[in-house]
Amino acid sequence: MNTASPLPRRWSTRDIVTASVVAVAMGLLFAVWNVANAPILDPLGALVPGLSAVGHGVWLLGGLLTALIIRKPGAAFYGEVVAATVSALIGNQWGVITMLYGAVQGLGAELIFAILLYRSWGLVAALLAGAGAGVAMAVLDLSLYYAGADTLFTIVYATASVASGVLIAGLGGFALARALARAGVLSRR
Amino acid sequence: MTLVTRGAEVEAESFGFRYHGSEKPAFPELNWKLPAGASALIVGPSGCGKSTLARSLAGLLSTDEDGVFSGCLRLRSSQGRDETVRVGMVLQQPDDQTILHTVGDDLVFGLENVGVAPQEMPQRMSQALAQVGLDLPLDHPTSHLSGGQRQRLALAGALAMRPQLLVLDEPLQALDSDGKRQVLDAIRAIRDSEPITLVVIDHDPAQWRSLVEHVVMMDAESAKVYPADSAPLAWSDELRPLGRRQEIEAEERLHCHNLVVGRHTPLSGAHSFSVAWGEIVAITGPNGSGKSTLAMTVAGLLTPLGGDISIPPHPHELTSRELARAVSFVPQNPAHHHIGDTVAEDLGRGLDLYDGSNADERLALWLERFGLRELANQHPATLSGGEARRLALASATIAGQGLLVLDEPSQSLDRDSRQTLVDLLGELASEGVGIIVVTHDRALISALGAREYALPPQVQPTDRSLSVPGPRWLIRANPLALLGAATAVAAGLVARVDVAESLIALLAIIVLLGGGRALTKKSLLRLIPVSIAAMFAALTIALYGEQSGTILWSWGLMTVSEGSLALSLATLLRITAIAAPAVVLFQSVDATRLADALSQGLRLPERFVMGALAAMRLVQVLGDDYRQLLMTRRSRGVADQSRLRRLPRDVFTILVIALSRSRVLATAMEARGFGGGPRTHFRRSTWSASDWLILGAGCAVVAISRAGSAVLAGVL
Repeated sequence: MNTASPLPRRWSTRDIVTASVVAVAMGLLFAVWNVANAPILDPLGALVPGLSAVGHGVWLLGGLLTALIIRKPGAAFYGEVVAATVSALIGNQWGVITMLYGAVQGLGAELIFAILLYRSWGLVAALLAGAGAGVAMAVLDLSLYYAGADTLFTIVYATASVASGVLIAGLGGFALARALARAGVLSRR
Repeated sequence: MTLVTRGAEVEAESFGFRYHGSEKPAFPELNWKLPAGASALIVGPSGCGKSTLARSLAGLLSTDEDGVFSGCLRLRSSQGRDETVRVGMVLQQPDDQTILHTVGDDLVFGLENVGVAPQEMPQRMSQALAQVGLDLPLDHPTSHLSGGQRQRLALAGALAMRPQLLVLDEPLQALDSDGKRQVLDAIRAIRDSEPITLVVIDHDPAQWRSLVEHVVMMDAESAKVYPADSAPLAWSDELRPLGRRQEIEAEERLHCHNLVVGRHTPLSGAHSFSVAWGEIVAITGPNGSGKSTLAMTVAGLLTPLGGDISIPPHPHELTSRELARAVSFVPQNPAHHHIGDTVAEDLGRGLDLYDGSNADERLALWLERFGLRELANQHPATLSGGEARRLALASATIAGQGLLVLDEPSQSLDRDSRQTLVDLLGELASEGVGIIVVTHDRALISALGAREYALPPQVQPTDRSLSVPGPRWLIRANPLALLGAATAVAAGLVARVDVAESLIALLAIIVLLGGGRALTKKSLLRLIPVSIAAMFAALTIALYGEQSGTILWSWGLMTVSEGSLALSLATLLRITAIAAPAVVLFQSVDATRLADALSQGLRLPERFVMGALAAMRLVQVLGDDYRQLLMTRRSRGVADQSRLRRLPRDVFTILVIALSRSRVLATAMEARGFGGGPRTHFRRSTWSASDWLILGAGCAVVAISRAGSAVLAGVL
């Protein structure tokens, strides 16, 4: 698709359903990751202060992937909130707070796409939006969970969060969206 | 109140449609007049544009987004000229066109979309259920419906909207013979009671003969209209049988002895049977009799719960690669079987298991033999049903496996594709492959000349309600109150890290939740990871927190001081106080109530809330897809890697499946009038005094902990 051409801004019913289904699928991934991340990341975090955040970008994929597929205003926010809600409804260790996370992380990515005037959906936009979501996640984590941490931890944790947002959510989301387009499942027929 | 629905007249003049970005028309130009109350069958091979025609009859194609119309299509109501004609539509896929979580919610969805008054809804719902012969309570979960029940529910959902034209797009294709009969009976009953206009689209005319008056025969070039009696059609469902096969000396390929199967609990009955070289055995039996479970156990994907399987012995203990070389399994949904990004790559992955020489020749031969050569570079997700199944069959046999297990191989296939399947299976059998087919398709069994192994029905478990755990006040609470209370606690505690404040908050929460009474087994299980996470966060802060006071221990970057220990304790208490109410309060919230509260209470845009709610039904469907995928991957020889390393690939496959499901879901929702004007609401989301109480309790926790810690600070 040509990234420069302005697309219709209004969401069609099919956009809404597609976005919802993508977000729900990502919510399932969140649920898998809720369980799978701890044995991998927690020991890492105990050894190197703050490094456990390198895997947290998986939880930002809902917003990124939905936005990169639907390419409409609000898609990043909507996708992340729906994915987080699914994760909360399936049941996880954070309950309703997950929805708060979804909203904040979704806004982080949404803000970047808005700054780009909802005109670019390429790799650079994806990486930037991943960073935006990563910053939002880091702010929330550091104030909710690690408020008492020292400066070194805070810096490492924030950097790891943003890097994870850029690589896992930004690059990963971009690659996934492109692979789906190549597979031909994003066409309207 | 009796309400006779009038039929609508359909008139097409040089009517055509072309998708944006496509050179060719989607279906041949149509000239046709169908009188009000008449019924017609549109037949034609796969890919001739029948479904596109169906969607344009139902008004589901838009000139903005889909394509351009040519000529003219008029739908005229027999009641008056000005009245808009309502069109109901039922699609092929039973799983993907169920929209909501319970029978009642699903039925009422369309009525809400078109703004029917809530007091009129119960009568319309019960009438529609009676018309399709579904005797189920409105709170019956849709996840527990059989395929035939689902299709009848979709039909009832369309009928409740009182359509004048009913368009059925291959409504029987994905059903077993019982399901087909149920749906046909329902349609016959509707035709007998109402003069509704009916258009059926199907590539198999067999079942429709007695129901239709017109036949439109379509192919890629032309569409011709006939009276049903004189249509040049083969109405029969029979398939050409295999010729007499050469008798092969019966050496056993597979032998089961007293085999007991089941997913968690054993199903009743022990199975003893064998399959010889070149023999075809059909496993039959009613829905829920355990046919698929038996087939998957024989294929080494499920562990037997008793008895033995020989040749290969103990298939469930083999590695994925060893298993894949001995036994092939083709699941009901071929999308679960594909592992390559193109047809050729998928076949190539199958060929990796092949020992013989001249692999390249074999690949070319298999592409040819299964009619896949033209499709070699296409992604498997873009194949039609028949093509996808041929690919699965090709990839499952290319390494020359001796035993082939197929689950419902003829489901969703048109007659030509079923004939191709019969011929291919016959060839494989004559090459010595032992074949087990799980099927409902009588015509397939007789054409294959298969030996039948029939399973008796199982006694179904009776508990089929969706039970929500938790105390009554929690179940009845408005989800917004719970959301608000948990958010208040989190927002109140996030401001400061203070041991006293967090401890008082935690105690207040325990008191307000009534000690342990609000805790169910489910919420306790969920609190375990919370505690682990809280402990890890506390450990992190102890090691890397802000240091003060005496240094107690230090190693490399890690330092523990009195100050960091205090912070660590505060962190532990704080996370527990934030997460525990969030988990306990949310344990009883279901998606439908949350969606009602969000759209009616918070007035969030309904199109989005309802879209998300409908998609959430797919959580279970996609979860089943994932489980099936993991099992089938084992039979393709690629499951020896750790599950985590396969995760990216699996996520992609699930997304591909999700997106194809979403396309059907979107069409089904649009067919029920979704996305139009303002909706009415059958379920009311209410806010009562107890909801204020819950919200107040959340704020009280914050106030008490603030005040308490201030008092303590003053005292100390």
